[in-house]
Amino acid sequence: MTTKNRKRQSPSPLDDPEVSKKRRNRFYEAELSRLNIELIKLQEHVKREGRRIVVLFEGRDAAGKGGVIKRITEPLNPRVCRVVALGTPTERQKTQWYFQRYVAELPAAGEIVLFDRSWYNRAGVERVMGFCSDAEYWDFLRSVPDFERMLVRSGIVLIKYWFSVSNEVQESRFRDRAKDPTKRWKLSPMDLQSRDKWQAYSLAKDRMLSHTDIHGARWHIVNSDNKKRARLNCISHLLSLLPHDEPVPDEIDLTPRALEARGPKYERPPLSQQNYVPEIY
Amino acid sequence: MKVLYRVNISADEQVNISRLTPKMRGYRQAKDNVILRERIAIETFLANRDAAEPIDNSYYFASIDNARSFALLHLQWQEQQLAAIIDQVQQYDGTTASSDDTSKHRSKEDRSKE
Repeated sequence: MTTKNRKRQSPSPLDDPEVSKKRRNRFYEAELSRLNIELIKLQEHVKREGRRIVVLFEGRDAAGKGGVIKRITEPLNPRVCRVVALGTPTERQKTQWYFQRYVAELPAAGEIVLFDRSWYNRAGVERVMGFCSDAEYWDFLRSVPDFERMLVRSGIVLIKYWFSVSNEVQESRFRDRAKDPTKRWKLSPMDLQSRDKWQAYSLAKDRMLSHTDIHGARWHIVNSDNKKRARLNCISHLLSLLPHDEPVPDEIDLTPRALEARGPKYERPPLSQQNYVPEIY
Repeated sequence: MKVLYRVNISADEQVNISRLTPKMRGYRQAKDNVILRERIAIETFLANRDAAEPIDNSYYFASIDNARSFALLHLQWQEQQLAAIIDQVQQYDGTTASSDDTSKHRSKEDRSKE
């Protein structure tokens, strides 16, 4: 696990109490825009070289995984970069090899796949909430290094992030979600149940990280108590792991439209013939 | 008195796990050295992994899960080292004297020099 470089060299304006909220936001937006350009260069590199990238985002509920994923995908082409967030397995999937439904989502050449939670569900929520047997759990810990080594050997770049959030911050985010009607959907009954199992999750996390931190697929820990800092840190770290020296696509000079060749002149049909969305704003 | 679990790691990197009941020889000594928390087990494994000398020791655990986890971590570490050697052999193209000339796999001696 790479926690060595966790300490910053100079204080970030993002958590400096001396800096006003407005300036902090301005700094965040400016950094994010700069990183967006780098992400586009990465996208061009992945497309040109036909690389296959898998990034796993793991962490407790409300750790900020979704926010980072959103900021990564925002500037990118969804045909190149897509998000996989699998729900509960179906009855049929439950009878399949555990990794099977994840394998189906792995990238083809020129694709980046971001897993919003992944096969590590078995070592976290499934273990803590008792959704898998003891034997299944231990078999998972045994199989993961082999499975991931196989992916890496096949040429897939596998990057794993653990979003680390403190008990207090998680609780305050849960409270925000409970209050805010636009965020309430994020609080599932399972989240509420797992709220009381902080310690069990901590033990499961420690064991998971130690068993699955392997050469070629290391865990990277993101301190996510401050969401904005976590987003910038994670994106810049991701970029540091992957070459992204491609130029952004050249500026395109849009010349005036050429007049169309002779032919029947187009006449727009009356608006009343089409079913328009009411303009209530 | 409770059953303890012993994980024995020998110098030739053999790993085995066994039960130690109160009536067995060595139980009292084991009880004094028992590892209660998994965090300690993980830290002990990391220290062993980074140690310069080969490990030849027995470790005692109060919980079967911690003992199993500790034993598995050692075995997985060995597996990782073996996988690195397999990679080198597989990628060897015959141009250098041996497959580990450009070794990425580090021996314990190499690691201790770092």
